[in-house]
Amino acid sequence: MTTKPKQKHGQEPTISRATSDLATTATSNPSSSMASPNLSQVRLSAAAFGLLLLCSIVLLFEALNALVIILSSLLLVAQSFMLYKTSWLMHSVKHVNWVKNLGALAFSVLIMMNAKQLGLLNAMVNLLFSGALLWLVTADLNSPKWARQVFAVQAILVSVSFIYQQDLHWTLMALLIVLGLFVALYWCQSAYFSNQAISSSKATSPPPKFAPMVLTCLILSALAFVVLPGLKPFWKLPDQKQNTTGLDDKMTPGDVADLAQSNRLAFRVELSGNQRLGQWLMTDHASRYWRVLTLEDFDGKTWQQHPLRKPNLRSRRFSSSESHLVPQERVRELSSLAESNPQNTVFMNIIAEPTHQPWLLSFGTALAKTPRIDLTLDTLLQANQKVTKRIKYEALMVSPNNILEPSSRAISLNRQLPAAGLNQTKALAQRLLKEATSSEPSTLSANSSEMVKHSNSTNNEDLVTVSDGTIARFNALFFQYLRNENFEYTLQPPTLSGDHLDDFLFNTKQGFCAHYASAHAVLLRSIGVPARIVTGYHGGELNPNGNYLNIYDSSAHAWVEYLDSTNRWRRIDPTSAVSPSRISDGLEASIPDEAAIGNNAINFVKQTPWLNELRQQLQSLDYYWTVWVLDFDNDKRQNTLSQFITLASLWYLGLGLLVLISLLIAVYWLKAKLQRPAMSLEVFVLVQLYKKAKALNPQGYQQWLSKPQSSTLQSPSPKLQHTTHPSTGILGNIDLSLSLSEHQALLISLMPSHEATITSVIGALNKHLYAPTSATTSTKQAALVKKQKRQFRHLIETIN
Amino acid sequence: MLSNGLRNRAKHWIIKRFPTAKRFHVRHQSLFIMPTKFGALYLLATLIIFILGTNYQNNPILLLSYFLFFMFMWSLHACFINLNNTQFEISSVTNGFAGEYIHLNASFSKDQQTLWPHQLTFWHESTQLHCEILEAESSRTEGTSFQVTLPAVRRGYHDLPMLKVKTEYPFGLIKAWSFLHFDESYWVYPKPKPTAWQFSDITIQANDIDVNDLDLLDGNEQLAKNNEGEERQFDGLKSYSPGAPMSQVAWKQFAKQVGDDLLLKDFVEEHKRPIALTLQSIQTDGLEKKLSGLTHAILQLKNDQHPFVLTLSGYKQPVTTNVFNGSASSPSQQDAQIESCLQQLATFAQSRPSKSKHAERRHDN
Repeated sequence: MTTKPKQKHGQEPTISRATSDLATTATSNPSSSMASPNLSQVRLSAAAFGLLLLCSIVLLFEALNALVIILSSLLLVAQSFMLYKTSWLMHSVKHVNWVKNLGALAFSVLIMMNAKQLGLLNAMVNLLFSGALLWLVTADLNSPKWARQVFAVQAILVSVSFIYQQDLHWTLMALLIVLGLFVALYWCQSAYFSNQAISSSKATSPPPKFAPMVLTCLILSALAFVVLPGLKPFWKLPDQKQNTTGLDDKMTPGDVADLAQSNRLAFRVELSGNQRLGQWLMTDHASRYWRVLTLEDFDGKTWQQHPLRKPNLRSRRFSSSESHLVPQERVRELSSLAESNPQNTVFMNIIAEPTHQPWLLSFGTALAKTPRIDLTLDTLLQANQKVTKRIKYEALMVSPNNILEPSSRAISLNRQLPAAGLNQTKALAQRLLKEATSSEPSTLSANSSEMVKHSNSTNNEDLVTVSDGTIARFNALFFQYLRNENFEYTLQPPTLSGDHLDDFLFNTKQGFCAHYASAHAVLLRSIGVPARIVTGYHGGELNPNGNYLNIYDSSAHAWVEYLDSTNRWRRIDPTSAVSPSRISDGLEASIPDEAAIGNNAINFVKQTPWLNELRQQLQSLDYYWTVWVLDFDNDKRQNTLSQFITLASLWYLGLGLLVLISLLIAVYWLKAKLQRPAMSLEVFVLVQLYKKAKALNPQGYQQWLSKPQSSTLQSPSPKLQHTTHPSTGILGNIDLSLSLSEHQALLISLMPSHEATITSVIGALNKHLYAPTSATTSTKQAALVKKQKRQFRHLIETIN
Repeated sequence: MLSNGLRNRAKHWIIKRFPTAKRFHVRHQSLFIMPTKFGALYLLATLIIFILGTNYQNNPILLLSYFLFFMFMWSLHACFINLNNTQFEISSVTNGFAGEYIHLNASFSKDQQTLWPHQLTFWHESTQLHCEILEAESSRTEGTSFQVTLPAVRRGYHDLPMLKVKTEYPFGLIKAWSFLHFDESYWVYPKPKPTAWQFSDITIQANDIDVNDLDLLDGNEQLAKNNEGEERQFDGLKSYSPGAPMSQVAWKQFAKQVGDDLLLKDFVEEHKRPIALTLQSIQTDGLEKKLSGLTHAILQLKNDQHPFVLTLSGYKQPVTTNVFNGSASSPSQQDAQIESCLQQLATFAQSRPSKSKHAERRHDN
């Protein structure tokens, strides 16, 4: 009785031991629940999963916390070292468990601490990632369960990465990761369930028929994607929190220079419609002024977008009549204007990269043809939410110039200058104005003479006090001043102190577009002309493959827009006075040394012709990827399907059927041919011999043919076996019922000069036919017969 | 209760559906296919990805979810193809001792020139059985022979249980399985257990033994005495083996020696007298233990090439006698004799051989 409780007590440890000793029992006990896995393959698949997790760090780089990245990389490296001791890992399951719990706790605390900074989505991604990591690092290698968990989580992680970027190369990388996941999963699966003796394939090979499998699945999913209707979002999910890129709504001279260092692709523009205008835009670098933002609020140092212009992104928009947008009636008016005057309109397909800002690229006066993008009063296109993923939109350029008339509020806004400071600049403005009004029109430079258009409209007298001619002369004088004073265009100007503009205009005399535009706008404002800074991009690189323009962040630019007496905004770019090549050829042409800084790699690519070609090809691939896949929606789905249906309904259907039928026939023919038994050796040799005979002695051959076949002759030697060959050509003429010796006699009578060779060939054939065959399997035999045929043919060739 | 009932019903259904045979051809009628737990998890992940793609209106995510779904469908297909049209044929079953394993030798082949069946696992109830591929034949017609190891639990003459052959090829998303109910039986002999059955000991202890048992021991006593009285020529020393008479132990050498290995004086024996083995010669209580002891004794005597006579009686069983002639008969004869002894021990006092029971049930059906 005393022993009984003891035994009961002793049961507990044995149960727990049973799980931890699984590996040991698995090897010693042949019939334990799980056979011992193939260690090297387990190691391989674990390493593969680790590598794939590391790769997905690259994909999720924007979402992951720096600490999480560092920790996970360290852990993965540590694990890959530990994998050398797989058997040890398999025993120490229990010990590893606390690592998992502790790690999970540590990671979640780490993420919680940074949750505010990360945002909800990023925090979730971090949690998922660290979960996958811990599962992998603390995997219980005794069963394939670990791989399955890691696989599922990693698949979700890869899909989440598409929220952050959808470029073609990232997509390909994601696809590779997913395929890698499948291969690693297969390795893991076969490590646990495959028997060494039977798996003829090596441990590192992908599953058999993997390539057709993947291809079929890709094609099917593409089909499903085209055919299946897209659903509306079920609910709102958190947006990713990210740093904004691209142009800023603030500009203190210096900002644009930062952008100039960045080679990020900002926009891609494809032009269609009016050929002449499109071509002009495509080829003329100087005229490509892409508008993005207007900066109207100046405090003496910084230009920024006026609060009036800012979209209210917080409130849900119920009507499009917002204060900063062009009213609907005017938009309709403009579009009817465009329809009536198609010579001046160009259709633009624009792909915008995510900037996390609402503003978009436009040209001249353009109307958005895509919902949820509007024309603002300062002639810009603006999305009603931040651009968080790559979007494609269409815009109709009504005019290459800004043809929207300003409101009186905007006019007064664009005359404001800080009350104090800028004394030297204001004095310069007055001096230039005096010169402009006093000088004769004949002294004006040629390029500004066209601008002299005096308007008699009394309506605008109170708004613009300076006449157009005077403004033009004023601008010309300012340009002349810039040239005379040896202003320098550089991306690394010295820092400005005091009154920035005074310091720039009279002291440092070095700067880039922001400086010149800023100075010019202030000068114009100080003589009472409404002026503002427009920021955007200038130029862009033409991709010859896709016939579209790539606009990079490095082409960011700033210029001036002023109001003339006709109450129209006019563009003027003071940078062109300082650095004409910047306008005509782009930044890299104007200051090759400075632009090259930090962009050595991309410059090398651009200067190597074939690499540049490749780069452009890849770019156009990415372009089509965006157009066809990323931007695919229900409208396009409808279009594609209806197009396809109309295509299919007509003679394409007949053609398709014809192709299908001929394919089927071809397949049957091939199959029949493959299934037909190959010519036996003896028949082959005889056919060869008779062919020779026909070639050497055509008359004799014909005679022999015309003679009645001597099949009545009885022979003692064994008959050749009949095979059901279709009797065609020479084969049909040969009487297969004759014995080999009879054939020999016949052949010798046809070719008496080659008696010796024929005898030897027939003799060799006899020997081969009746010799015991050494080949056991049918495939070996076939190979042997083939070889012998070759030998015989060689032998027969010698007869001439 | 309900689930138990259902399970029993399913079991019966399967037994009916898979009658015993030497050869099984797995076709779509006899193949079951279902997603595994991981398959369900995978589909859940795919659904999550689809929802993500829809909610973010993100086409690549949608594409990925479609891709994952089609990969699932394909692996369903691959899993089916993998097991379908596989033929299993049994060649033999080895017999074994209780507590050890029996080996089932069989082969599988596919009639078409398709892939080999990959990742096959064999299951009995819910335990995975160890399976070893003996040789992968180069010619596909002959098939691949493999060996499945089954635990031998109870002594007796058993039919092969219903085996489940399962594959989760290629990714573990889908499981396809079928049942193999081979028409073969096997012997499970009692587990050999070294028990006190030394004859010299028996003679010493004979005084303590009840008078009732004495007559049964007579044969042994006689034997022991006879052994002592016989003229034997000393031939050398050999290592101790249990069951040897104590008189043969080389006590002098044992005393001199440092270790505790007993040595036996080896005698050249012209002629060995057969030992009489009965249930009563095993000094334990409980039939199973006695049978275990006898099994061990038989194996030991066979090893020593010592003749014996096994007589089983009592327990309301007819008296059976099996004879082992030792070195007097040829090895194959010896094996047959031992085999019949072991079979006698395996089925002793079992109400009915399980084979006939099965046969009856089949008749009922």
